[in-house]
Amino acid sequence: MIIHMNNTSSAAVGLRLEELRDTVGSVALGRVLTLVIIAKDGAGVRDGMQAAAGASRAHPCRIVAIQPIESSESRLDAEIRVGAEAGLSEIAILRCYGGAGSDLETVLSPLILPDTPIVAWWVQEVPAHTADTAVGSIAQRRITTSRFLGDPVHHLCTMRDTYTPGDTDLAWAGMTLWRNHLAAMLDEPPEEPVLAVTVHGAPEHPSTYLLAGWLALRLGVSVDIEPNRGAVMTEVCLQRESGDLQLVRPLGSEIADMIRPGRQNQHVNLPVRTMETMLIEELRSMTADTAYGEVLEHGLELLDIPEFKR
Amino acid sequence: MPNPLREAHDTRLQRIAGPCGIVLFGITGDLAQRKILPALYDLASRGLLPPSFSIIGVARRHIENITEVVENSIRDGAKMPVTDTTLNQLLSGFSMVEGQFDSDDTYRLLGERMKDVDDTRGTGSNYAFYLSIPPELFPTVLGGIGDAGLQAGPEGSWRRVVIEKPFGHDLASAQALDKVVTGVFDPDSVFRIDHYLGKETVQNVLALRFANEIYESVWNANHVDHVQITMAEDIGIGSRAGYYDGIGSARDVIQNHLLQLLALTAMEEPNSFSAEALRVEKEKILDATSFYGPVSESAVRAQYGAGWQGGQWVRGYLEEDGIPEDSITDTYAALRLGIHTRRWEGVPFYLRAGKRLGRRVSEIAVVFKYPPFLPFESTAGMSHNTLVIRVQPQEGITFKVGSKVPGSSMRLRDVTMDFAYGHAFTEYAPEAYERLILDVLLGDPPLFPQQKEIETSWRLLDQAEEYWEAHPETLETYRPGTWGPQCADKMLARDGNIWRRP
Repeated sequence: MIIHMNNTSSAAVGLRLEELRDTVGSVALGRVLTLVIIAKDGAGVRDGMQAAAGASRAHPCRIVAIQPIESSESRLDAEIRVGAEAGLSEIAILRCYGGAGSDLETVLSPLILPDTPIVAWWVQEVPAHTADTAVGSIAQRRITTSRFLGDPVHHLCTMRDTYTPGDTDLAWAGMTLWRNHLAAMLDEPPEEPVLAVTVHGAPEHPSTYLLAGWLALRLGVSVDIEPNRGAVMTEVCLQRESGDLQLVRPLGSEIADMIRPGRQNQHVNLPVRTMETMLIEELRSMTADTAYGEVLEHGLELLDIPEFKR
Repeated sequence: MPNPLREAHDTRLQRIAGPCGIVLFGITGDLAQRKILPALYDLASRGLLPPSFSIIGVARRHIENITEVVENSIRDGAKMPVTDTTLNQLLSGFSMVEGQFDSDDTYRLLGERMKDVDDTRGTGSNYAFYLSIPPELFPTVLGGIGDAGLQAGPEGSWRRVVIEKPFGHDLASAQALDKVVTGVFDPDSVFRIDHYLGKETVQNVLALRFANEIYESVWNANHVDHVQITMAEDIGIGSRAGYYDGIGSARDVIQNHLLQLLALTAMEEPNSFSAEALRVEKEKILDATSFYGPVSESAVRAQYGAGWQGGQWVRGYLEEDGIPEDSITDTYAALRLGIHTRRWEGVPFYLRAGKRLGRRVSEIAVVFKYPPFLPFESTAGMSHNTLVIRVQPQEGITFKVGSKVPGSSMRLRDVTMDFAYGHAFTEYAPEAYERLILDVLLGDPPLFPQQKEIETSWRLLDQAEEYWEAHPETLETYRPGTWGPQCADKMLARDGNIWRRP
């Protein structure tokens, strides 16, 4: 069910949401958090909504999407979605024209669920200082999306220089499956130190640097980045005395080969993650991801990239 | 050398089992097919098994197309979507050893296979032996494992053994069984599966009690009137006659599941969530538990008769296939227990379990005392505050509280505050077997009952069984689809209480 409310206030939208809960009945009886989506344009709202509605099946929540629109006229238009369109959530989309979007904290206040965590998600950007933004300052968790912006080194530097506990970027969630497999490979005998690491990944993708930084920080060895032509990660090679451990995923494949000296090669699931699955992972924890913070603050500088040195 | 990639506090990396394999005795059995193999697939599908993970099945006879049999049971039972990649990944580590359980050759072959798997797949010589076989075969199989020296691997590796209930049918047989198992394996390497303890809601009992401030102050005899723990099934014994007759509901369910629930509900706060700390508290509370009054007034049992249940005619217990006409096995049992501690003295704990009852439900109901004084004119319609922990179905918590009925007069009525686990957490919750098998592979024992708890539980139940044995005339029957026999109602009436309708 979709309801349009034009030229309205966010308090009226909040009231209407509560009314709908009583009359129509909302699927999510328990709402554990408020997810605020900040988009730059209609496409951002659409993509963010889609991922968030899917993620709400794992974490029932209220979703508020905000799209500031430059305009000489000041006006707040809202769209409410409940029921089948909203997954296990209730959705309010706020289009803030002109001055209506100038104080986002007050726009949000009537729509935030009482006494539950707030998660802010910038679907199309990395703000100059995420935690200092109007929405970022009231949120426990701040998620940015750097992966389609280009110039990953610049954005990673911004994230590092303004890092506040509670920040994460989806480029980090994008590497969790790779990290799990790599950690599992090192669980196995023989227990030997890793001597050097090579990461084959897309130079325009921030995930490549986060994974390399993580390996450099944790293993204490030099990590080479081999740029490849694809848009994603294709291979990680851990050199050890007894031979190389390799995790190789050909471009376009969802399955990787785990190659270990003296053992049968093994196929493992390693799909390119969707926004939805990454968001589900993000919403699982409302506390700061210290492992991510350490990679930003101490891992990136170990890579052989001048901009990361300080 | 610890794995450097796991050193930091990294919440996104999964709790994944280290390199290991499972040796499954009884792979074609019902439990392996319905529960164990699907759970292994679900674990693999969620990436919780190591890449080297291997399954070695042991069977007494050659089975054509065993891989197909395994695959089918996974396709039928897995909760996660079955994909070819994950299935092939799991089955690539699957092999069979065939031979008689009483033949040395079988265990020699098994030992060679384990060594072979270590080399080709990197299992690091870590194995869990899962005995999914009838308990009569335990001595043979454990003897075989022991004689072949498979119960211990090289330095730094582990070997564990997993056994399922029933852990004996009385104290003596439980002790005999334990002697057989611990004669071969170190007691710390024995994992006894009570799948009830793997359920999320049962673990949530501990979270509810010890993570919250508001319950502790009322969780005692000053405020609690009595406690009712129920495990009801609406079905009969089905095709389990061979196992069930002579065992009955008290031995089948109360001795393990319900007494464990009682322990979790009543125990003191453990010093930590370690297996040892939990065990100490559970043992203490079970040690302090005895019948509330003479056994003759505190233990009842009955059998279901024939009748119409939910629109269908069902047979009585004595008419079921394979049940002797003069069987005195109970299909319903209820106990009235007391716990002699400062916290619980004077609070009866009622436990009941049965088949062919009103509906399928398991719950713990903590019934609070009636307020000593009420300033209202009419208090009709208000009963005791009750906190109900629903174990299944619709896992969650209900709190029954009094409330004002809208209108000009001050009238009161009970309403419920309802927390449904599935409404707050819609994320995938692991099946009990999944959780427990992973814990075995990780060597994480808090959720597994220890031998002493089992013996204490038997000591308690044996008193009831002895009384029933000596007084067969006390066996009643009850109509199918009802909430049990009259003797159970009378037992509570002695204390002025009635059973909840769950």
